[in-house]
Amino acid sequence: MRFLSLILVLLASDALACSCAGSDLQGQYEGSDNVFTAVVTGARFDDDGNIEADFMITEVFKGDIPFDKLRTTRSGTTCDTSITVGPEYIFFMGDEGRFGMCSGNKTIVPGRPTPWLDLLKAYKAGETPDLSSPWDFRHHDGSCSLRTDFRSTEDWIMSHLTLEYRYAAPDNPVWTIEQMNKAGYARAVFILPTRKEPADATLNLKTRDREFGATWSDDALPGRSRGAFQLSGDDVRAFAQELLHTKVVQVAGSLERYPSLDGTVIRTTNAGSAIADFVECASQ
Amino acid sequence: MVTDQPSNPIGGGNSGVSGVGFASGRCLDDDWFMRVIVISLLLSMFLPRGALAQDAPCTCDRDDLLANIRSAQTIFYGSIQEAKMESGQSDTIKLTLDVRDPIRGKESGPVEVSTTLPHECGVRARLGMHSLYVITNESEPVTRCGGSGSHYYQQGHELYDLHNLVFALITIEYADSDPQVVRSWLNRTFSKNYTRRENMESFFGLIGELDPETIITLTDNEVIYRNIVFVFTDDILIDYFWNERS
Repeated sequence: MRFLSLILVLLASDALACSCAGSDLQGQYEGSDNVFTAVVTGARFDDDGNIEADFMITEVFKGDIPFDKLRTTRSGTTCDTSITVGPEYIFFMGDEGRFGMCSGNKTIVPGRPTPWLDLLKAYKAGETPDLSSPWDFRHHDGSCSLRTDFRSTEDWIMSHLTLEYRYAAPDNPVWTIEQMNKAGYARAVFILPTRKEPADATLNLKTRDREFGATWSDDALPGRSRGAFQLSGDDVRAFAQELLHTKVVQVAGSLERYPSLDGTVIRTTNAGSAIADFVECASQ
Repeated sequence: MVTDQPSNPIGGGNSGVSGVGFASGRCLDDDWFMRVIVISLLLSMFLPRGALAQDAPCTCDRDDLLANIRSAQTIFYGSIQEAKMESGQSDTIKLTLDVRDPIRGKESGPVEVSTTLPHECGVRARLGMHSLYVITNESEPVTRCGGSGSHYYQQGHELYDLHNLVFALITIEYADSDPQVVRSWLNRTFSKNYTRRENMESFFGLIGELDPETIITLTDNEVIYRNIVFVFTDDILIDYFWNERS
């Protein structure tokens, strides 16, 4: 019974999960012939069950857009997708104008932050030398955080590096680990999509002047099936200070599940004032 | 009603693609194991990929929404075959729909309706996506506040019980005339021996609100709606059947 059930679960999982290579904006941009924003103004099924969509370009960032329709091809795999008429998207396309679940297209939702679009505009205007991931600083309920995303080619989920500092106990504690709700709690988590690294795995984060050894933690995200390499205590503030004058964080480590992370670089080019804001917050 | 996702920065993914996680290397008891399976299968059947991540916020009044459903001329569960922004009206989308399960009024497709953009509470115009359509006046756009659209389960959401809205309407419409349709939805929605009565209370409550003239009989072990009998033991749904005597 349990074996049969396991098969059912795996089938259900397969029905949901289309395995795409993860990519950040830089990777998406470099891997696409055409990058543009457009409103999808109409869509229909053709006789073969494929989708043909009309679009109205709002801004071009790369390419000549040598097609006048967007098309999917029904493959019968879990990577088949659909499209929604009405929203504006950032499209990453080849010259055929075809898209699928792994194309990396992004919906632009009015009223929500659009970091990728902002960065594409800044890059087009020559205001930034590259499209490395932006850094995001936030205050929320007694804590502040600094986050940037990065690509791990072994998985389709973007991973991220987040620094968090709690300067006051939260009004509504959300963490089941009591320590995380206490003022003064600090950590930097290098979050990966799964928990599949062994308990003794380590990851080194090398800044301009220092190297920080992050240790693997299964319970960095209580209740979630994701693990993280973690720095804690004074290392977090020291790491944040280092980020202020570091352009590239070198990631090093021998990981079983994510070997490509060894040698990954995380750039601070597009941090804006986010790192300084976090350092100021963490000095409270 | 606010449909924004939590803004917690730690672990907050934005992939828009749902996956089914599975804990390996742990000793799982059978009950826990089966719950995972049932939830996984239900999610795989009913959750369109990225649906939650892309639905724009929309504030609706629950009472108005249910009142609109009660007075609607046409209600059906169907899918979008074609969508087109109407020329000169960039905030309106014309939808051509295929009727899968007629509930009230129109029996078959294609049906043409219009809707507003998602951030203006319109139905998400995603090709092939199944949703509920509630048409009160054919000249008016269908909207999520009118009851149309996909009502997903969202934990802690004040209108969370509406995720059973389609099934409640199907049950009301077909309980007497075509039990097979209700059975089909029942089998997909609630699992015998694993569904707790408390998880069905909102479903029974919704039926009571949408069909106030019919009395729902509640006892310790049974819930009876028209001739459908839901049987519980220790607050677990163990059976449902059509009472031929009534």
